[in-house]
Amino acid sequence: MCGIAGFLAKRADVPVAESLTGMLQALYSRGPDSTGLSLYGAPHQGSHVASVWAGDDGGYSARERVLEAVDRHGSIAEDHYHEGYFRIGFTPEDDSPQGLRAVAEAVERGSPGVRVFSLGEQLEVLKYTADAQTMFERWSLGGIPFTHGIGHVRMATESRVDVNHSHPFWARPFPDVTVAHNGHVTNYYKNRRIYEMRGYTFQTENDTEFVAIYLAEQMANGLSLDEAVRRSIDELDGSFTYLVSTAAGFGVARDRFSTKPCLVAETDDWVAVVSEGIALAGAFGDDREIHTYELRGGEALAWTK
Amino acid sequence: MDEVTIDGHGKSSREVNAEIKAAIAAGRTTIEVLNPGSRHSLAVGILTPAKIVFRGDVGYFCGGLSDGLDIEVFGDAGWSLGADMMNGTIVVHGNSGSSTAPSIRGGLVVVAGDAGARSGIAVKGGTVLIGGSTGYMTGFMMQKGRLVVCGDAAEAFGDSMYQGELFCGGDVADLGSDTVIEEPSEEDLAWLADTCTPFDLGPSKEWKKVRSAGKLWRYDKKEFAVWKEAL
Repeated sequence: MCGIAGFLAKRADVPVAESLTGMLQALYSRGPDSTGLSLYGAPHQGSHVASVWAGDDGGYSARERVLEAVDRHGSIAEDHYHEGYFRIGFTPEDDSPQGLRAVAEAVERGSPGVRVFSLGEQLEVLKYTADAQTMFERWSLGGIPFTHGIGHVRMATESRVDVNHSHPFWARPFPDVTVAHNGHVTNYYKNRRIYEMRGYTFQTENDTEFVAIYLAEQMANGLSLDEAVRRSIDELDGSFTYLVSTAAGFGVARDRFSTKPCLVAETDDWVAVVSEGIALAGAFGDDREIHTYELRGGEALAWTK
Repeated sequence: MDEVTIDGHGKSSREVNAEIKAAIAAGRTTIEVLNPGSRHSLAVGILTPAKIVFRGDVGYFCGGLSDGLDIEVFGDAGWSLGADMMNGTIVVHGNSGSSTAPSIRGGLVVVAGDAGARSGIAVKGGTVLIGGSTGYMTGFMMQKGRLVVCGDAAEAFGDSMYQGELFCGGDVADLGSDTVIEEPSEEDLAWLADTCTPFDLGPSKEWKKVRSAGKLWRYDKKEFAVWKEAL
């Protein structure tokens, strides 16, 4: 199972977090283990923003160490801690992927329960073992002017149930790229070893983490989002419908066998990709008519702001 | 008065279905459901003939396990539309999801728009009519009945079908294992016209007929080459 939802607002007054929360809440039965969101475009100070999970080691000294580590690799412009999560606006000394990797590793070093869930200019990742509405309220996501995002409700099959193994996965160390995925990528383990030999580090045993790093590397090598998702159809094996998000927008790809659901809806105001139509009813009301179509097997699409 | 309107707004599938069944039990013959909201399993397991009109999208399994219903959906349908239906008619004016009309035993399922992957899987009777195009492996393991696609059929069309007939009015991307493509007969064309015309549907190009080649019906396990060739 698992449920996925991607959403891109075409106008500034279209609420993103509210819409994604409505969709994911309606898909709750597809993935009651955990919920996750990648959200883009909220204003912050500093050139970059970090989402750091310190909920498993949230003692005062661990939190101090998080801030000290970020400060060693750049200058902190703002920091907030709420219910296990740090949101840190900062300007890194080195904003290349290598520089961001150094920030992430410094933050996690010496604090086993602390995890960097994302680094980027726009991306913020929030994931938790709760339903979407609970998360929306706990982290006060209402009214924030996000531009787009992807979300996931998880029914774990590939790896354990905890916050760290929840989707979306950040394509560490590439800024602003995350993936949320419904399915199983069967050639991930072999590919992961090849990527490890090239110097990438994986934080979990989850296949989706590989998909994120694979796509981010393709884009870092010059492919557009659209080209990267199309190529992935040939290079990933297994049954999958995944969403990938960047600072520019989001894309979706579905395996040739069409084993996992994928419904696309686009209006003048927004574009949404969801596992089931009930997600659109959950977000926009069951009395609104929205035209939908299934993404064909082997097809991939992308939308940018 | 034999008509009744049910508003699905804010209700669960179970509540909507209970109201539909209560209306049928009360002798209503036409039931209109407003705001179905893509809920799953609407109008499943109903064995008393009635007309049910959904004004909006329906979710998975709509009209499944039913016998003799006349369902009309003014919207899109999710996966497994009319699953295991014994008899009756389902007409969807929009698109439908994957495994449309799986394992139906009889009746007619019409999708005016496009249908998803594995549509008509294991059909055991009746007719499936798709006005647009259809997805991967449509007609997989079909056993009886007919499936008509007015537009294009994606890869593995009719894969491993036992019996039954597939018709495609557009392009077949790729034939499934152990199938043959042939010209439809005069009788076939007359039946296609009779079936499609009431819904204002027709072939996007020329009708083609696909049926099982029968090579996989029976063969000895030692005849590996037969199996290999058929696949």
